[in-house]
Amino acid sequence: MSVSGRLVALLALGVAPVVLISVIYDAAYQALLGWIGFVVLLVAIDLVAAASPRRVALERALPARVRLGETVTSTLYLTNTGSRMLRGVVRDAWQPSAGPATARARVTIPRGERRAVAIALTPFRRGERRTERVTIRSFGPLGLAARQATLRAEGRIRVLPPFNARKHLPSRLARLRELDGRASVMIRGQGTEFDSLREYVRGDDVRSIDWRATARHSDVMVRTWRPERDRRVVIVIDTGRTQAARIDDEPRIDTAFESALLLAALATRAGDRVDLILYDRRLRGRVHGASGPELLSRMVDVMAPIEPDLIEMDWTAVPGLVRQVTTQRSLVVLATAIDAPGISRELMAIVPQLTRNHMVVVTSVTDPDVAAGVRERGDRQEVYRAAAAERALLDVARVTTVLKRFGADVVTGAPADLPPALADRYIALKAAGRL
Amino acid sequence: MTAAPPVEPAAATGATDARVETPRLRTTFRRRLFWIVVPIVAMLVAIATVLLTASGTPDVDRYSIGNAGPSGSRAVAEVLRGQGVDVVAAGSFAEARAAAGDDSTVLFTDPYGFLDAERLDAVAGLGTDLVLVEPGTDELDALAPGVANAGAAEQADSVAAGTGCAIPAAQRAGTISQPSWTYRVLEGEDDATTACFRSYDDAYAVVQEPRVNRGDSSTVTVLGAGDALTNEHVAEEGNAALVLGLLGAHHTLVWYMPGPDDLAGDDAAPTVGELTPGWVTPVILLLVLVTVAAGVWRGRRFGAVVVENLPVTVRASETMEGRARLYAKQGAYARALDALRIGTLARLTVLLALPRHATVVEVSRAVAAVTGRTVDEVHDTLVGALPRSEGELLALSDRLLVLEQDVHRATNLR
Repeated sequence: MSVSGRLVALLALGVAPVVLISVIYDAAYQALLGWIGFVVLLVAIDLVAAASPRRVALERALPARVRLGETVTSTLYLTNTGSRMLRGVVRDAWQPSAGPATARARVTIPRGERRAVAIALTPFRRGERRTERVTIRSFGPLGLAARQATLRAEGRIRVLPPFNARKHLPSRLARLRELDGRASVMIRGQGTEFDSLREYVRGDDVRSIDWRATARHSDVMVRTWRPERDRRVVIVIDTGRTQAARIDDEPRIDTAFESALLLAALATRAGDRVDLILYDRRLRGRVHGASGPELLSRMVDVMAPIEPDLIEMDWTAVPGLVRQVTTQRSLVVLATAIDAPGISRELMAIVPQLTRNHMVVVTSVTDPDVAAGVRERGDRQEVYRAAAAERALLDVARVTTVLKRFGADVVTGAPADLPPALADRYIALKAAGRL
Repeated sequence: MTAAPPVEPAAATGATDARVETPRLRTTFRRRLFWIVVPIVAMLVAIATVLLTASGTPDVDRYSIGNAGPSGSRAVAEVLRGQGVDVVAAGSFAEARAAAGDDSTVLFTDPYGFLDAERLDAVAGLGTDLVLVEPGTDELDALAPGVANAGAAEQADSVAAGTGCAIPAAQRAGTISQPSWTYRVLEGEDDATTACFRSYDDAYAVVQEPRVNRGDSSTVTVLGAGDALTNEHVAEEGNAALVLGLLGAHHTLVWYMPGPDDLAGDDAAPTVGELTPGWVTPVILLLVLVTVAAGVWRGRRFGAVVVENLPVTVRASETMEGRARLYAKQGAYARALDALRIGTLARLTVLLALPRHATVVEVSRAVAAVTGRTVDEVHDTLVGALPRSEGELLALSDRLLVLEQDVHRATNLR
């Protein structure tokens, strides 16, 4: 049960009769009791006449997925199965981070009819956003008091990572296409694949002339090459505690997701097969054997509900996981955080195992605050801050040096720069034929 | 073209499980029945207990004849009743006047000063004999004008009636225990005034004089030994003989202890309560109800609170800031400078295109060659100088920055 502002106003109106009757008949208390009784009677009538909020059937219509930052409409259909007209307010209890535009809606449903309540959702956090209950407050004909009931009506929507890095995709795809059909000399490296023969044009390297074909064609022919296809890219994303830290108001894991999505989009276009592993101490998610548009949609689907856990990453299991995916030489991307040598010891321990068979790239987000802190040396506090920043950079540099010595490649960048940087490194590796 | 994940429209449509979670009123009532019944039963028990026990608060007033404790006077009253004296307790002047007939003694004590001068004058007309227990100056002025206060009694185990004592009850008593107050007879009083139980000089515990404006033999007795009335001390020395003699002389004893009813105010100015119109209190009650209703209106929850796990927000640079604060707190300027120098050296190595494992001396030489400084000066900045204070740390840090900028400029020019 609940009451409306109208009831409060009505009760307050009682001041007039109480004063009047008191002045005329000197019966103030009787007047007060009479007024309260009158209001109570009206409330009772209202409550009895209100439609039952329990006798409402609920249906939901809402999209299963939405990308972070976009708006979708969640529709709730209410069918009045009771015998009276239902006038009331409906609250669909979405979690706050689902970003409902309004929490409450006014509805009037004649008996036996159905009405829709549409709520615009603009989620502001990745993951699974849900609503579990719908509360209906049904007012009586006088609008003084209402009956209220909460009905269970679950709804959920999966909020996918935003993939803001997709703006870098067209330019990287263009550069990837440039690799196609290049003369071998420009990109000569082991493993580049023979593509086709074409006529010699001026500027081509004479060394790429295929003399046998020239003899057959009575024209000078050159061999062209294309980047290798059907290579494997294995992306391992660390979902441990260090990934929860925020850099530029973005958790490290979100940057890792952005990088992984851009790389996957690029690699699948280039004809490579991409596998994704999300791991800390248990397998949090994996995408295997998907390609084309399906790959990305499966990847965001797997990534959406993953939040970093408060546990240490277990790197020792990673070589085994990679071996499960493929035994052939592939590009293994380890998206993690490079911190102090103490924290990264396990990572440094397993990298040699991986580099024996694979091309390994370790990506880590660098903090622009730290880089900026080195330069600011205005006063005592800032000098100490600069020293701490230098120390932090030194720690990262030491780990990076070790990783490079073990044969891994290291890509670092600020949150906005890391995804394109990784994409560029991939293109460079492909151009060099090192995959 | 981007490979954006498709937003699937209307993927999940269908009737959901519309189970009602709010319990019905009946269910709620049944569930809470215990806690509704328990307070009601407790209240009933409490009311029954109060009703069954004889009276509410016990009588604890000093000299009250209802008080059986050490400071009360129930013993005296009961003994007098046993002797056939009609003992009447009066809590107000009206009661005292109604009870005090022709043949009566009035015991009067007003420790709280409920009576004003006008009323005290009226008390002077009450009963036959008047006994004032430890009266103050106001009472003496109005009721026994020939007697004055003489202050506290001297310390003594007992006081004797004395030779000049003409009060029969006092003579019979012989001695009484230590009185609390003493009184003296004012100069110029006639012989009918008599004082007993001398404490010192002219200070007596009991003084008796004829009543003002009365021709008969009625007396007013000032009793300074109030303790003699109490249950605790009545049995000591001759206390009992004294008080029984004084109070039991007449058929009726009116035990008059003024109470709040005696306060003046019958014809005083009307109070605020009398002046306010009759509707004010009901309107205030109504407004209280309105406030409660408004609270319910605004405070009634529209369904349960929605619970959501929120991520912790930790800035990654916190560790750096923390380390900086530690350095600053400890004044670890040598260590801080080390970090700054290592950073500068690493950058200089890159700027000057030296091998990664170049020694400090090699770097110093290269820097000196580029910037035109002496090798010693550069070496001093890069590794030699030891800071002895924070001021020197700041200076060295600035020198490092300048050095780096100079090298930067020089290498860019080339």
